Amino acid sequence: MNQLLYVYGIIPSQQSIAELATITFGSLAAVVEYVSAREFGQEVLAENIKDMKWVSVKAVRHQEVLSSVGKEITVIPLKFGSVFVSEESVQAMLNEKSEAFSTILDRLDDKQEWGLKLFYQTATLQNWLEQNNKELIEIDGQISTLSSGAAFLLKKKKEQLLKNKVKAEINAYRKSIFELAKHYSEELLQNKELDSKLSGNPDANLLNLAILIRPGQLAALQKELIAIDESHKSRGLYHDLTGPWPAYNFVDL
Amino acid sequence: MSNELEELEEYDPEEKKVLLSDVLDRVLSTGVTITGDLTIGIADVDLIYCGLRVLLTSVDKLKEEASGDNTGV
Repeated sequence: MNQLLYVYGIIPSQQSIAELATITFGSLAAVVEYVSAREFGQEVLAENIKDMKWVSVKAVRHQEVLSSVGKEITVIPLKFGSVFVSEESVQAMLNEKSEAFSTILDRLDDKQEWGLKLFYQTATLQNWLEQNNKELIEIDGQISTLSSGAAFLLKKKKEQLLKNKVKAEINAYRKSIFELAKHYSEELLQNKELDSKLSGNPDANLLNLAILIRPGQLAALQKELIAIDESHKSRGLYHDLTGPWPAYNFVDL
Repeated sequence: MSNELEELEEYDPEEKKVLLSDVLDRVLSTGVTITGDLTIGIADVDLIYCGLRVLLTSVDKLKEEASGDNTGV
């Protein structure tokens, strides 16, 4: 058995795609690629997925295929590494899950997944508060007139106040963006905030949302996000919107 | 011999580059999980991804501890 089937995703069977093979069962079709057992066989694969470089290359391929199919067709993305032993086993899977898949396809119709992340630059926000917040400016004024001992205590107080203001500013920003996303999207969920290494951004990740949105609503959301960014840029608060993604976050069986 | 390049593809500064981390975050941890007649359990992919995250976060933890900046939880 040299050939295995790598399944990327599930589409309605009346659709056809040019670049890849499909395996049809009833109203559903699996988008597949024939892969070698020497690379995707059980034991080899178990070894290969320990190799981050191999995983990265294959994961990007997985994403590119789904993204290209998803341009024209509603697609249910399967998780990376869904490898089947035969066409019959793919059909059996389609048969077994046909009701669930059909329900999801209906739900995803004419919607796109987008990722909405919020970030902040600590130093920029602190500076902005020190220059614009009345209370903080007043304390600064007092510190300059005090003896060093009293100034020290007041500095401590200022530090604490600044921390609280930073926290309040961040949470107000998060809340306003969350309300906006909720208003324009069909479904929305919160993922864990990402560590800098995972987000690829040195600034701190404040919020990590996945939203399912109609293309017609997207432009309106983007416009509002850009307007909010304009007024928050000087505070070091900004958003990052990526997509459209295959609906990875909205396809739980 | 290198091929003659006829025309340069246009660079679009508006077009956002997709981050590998964004791809891995989705492809490895979300999407429909099918169990059963597969050659490999999807759980293994989950483990690898968790491992990657733990590795990255623990590196940061170590750095924090080393620098004495232990303000985190």
